[in-house]
Amino acid sequence: MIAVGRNPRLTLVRLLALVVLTVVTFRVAFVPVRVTGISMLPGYKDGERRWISPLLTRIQGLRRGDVVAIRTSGRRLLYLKRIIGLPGERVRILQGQVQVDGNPLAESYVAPDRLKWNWPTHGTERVLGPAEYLVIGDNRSMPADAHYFGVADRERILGKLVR
Amino acid sequence: MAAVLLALGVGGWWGRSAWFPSEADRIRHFMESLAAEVSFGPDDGGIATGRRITRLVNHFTPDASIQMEILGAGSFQLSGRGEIQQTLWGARRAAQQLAVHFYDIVVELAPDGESSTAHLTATAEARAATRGFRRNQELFEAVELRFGLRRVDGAWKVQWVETVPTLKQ
Repeated sequence: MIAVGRNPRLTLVRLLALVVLTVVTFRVAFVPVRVTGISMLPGYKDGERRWISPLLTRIQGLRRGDVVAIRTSGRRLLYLKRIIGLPGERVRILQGQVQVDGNPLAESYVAPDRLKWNWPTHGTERVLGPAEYLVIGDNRSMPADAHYFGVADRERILGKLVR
Repeated sequence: MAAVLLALGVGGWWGRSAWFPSEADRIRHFMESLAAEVSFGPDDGGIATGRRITRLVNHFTPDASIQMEILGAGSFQLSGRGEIQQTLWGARRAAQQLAVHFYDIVVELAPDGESSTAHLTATAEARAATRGFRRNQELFEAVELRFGLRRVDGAWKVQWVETVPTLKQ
């Protein structure tokens, strides 16, 4: 037996409101994610649960140092990376040191055992386009060719991590 | 009354997609079956594997090509069913088990209905056997792929596969 209350129409409206609220909360405001892999060590460990907020990203915009989720062909699998370079900047990695517009970038979130990566591999700088962000994982102790990083288009960034 | 109508609406919508799948639904189902056939377990014997690989290769057109770039392993290119079959056997020998899953399959059907593309994200979890890896080493890979499909004698076949770069270099 299904209890629909004294006023079935009101129950239906409440039910629909609940569905809309749930969808908005978990698709727009806060999207739950589970971290898989080691590319964001030491700050984000394999198996941890976190939240992404597309809504907050829309309000606050994207800043250097934000950890963001990058969508693939959909939203079920996302890459978690940190924003290192912003649109219009000249970026490169030389002997493991990130340089933005020619200046070294201080990265407190990277463990001291970082390897001497070089990027782009042809040795010059990469100028980011108007909607491009350079994103990298925090774990630089892995070889550069085993670590997936690069330039993400704004449309691929679902949102930033809020916790 | 409203609840009954809502239930009927939901049931009708579910029934339509379950009993009368669209062409895109059929392709999604085909792609999922492809992922299941690539996967194998540690207890799968040689005969079962051989049957599965033959079945799998028949899902490709004779001129099929695969061009992929795998993180840490570089890029490779395969042409024709023969090379695909050899690679599948090689994977079977290198790994004890392999679990492949396809997520977020986005299908685009050509106007003529005879060709289509499927853009998806594939994950592969493998437990390595011996050569090339440490024994029992576990590997996990996620990669965005685009499949080109062609309808041959009423059945969808894979004509090409390529990697889609999520991040640009």
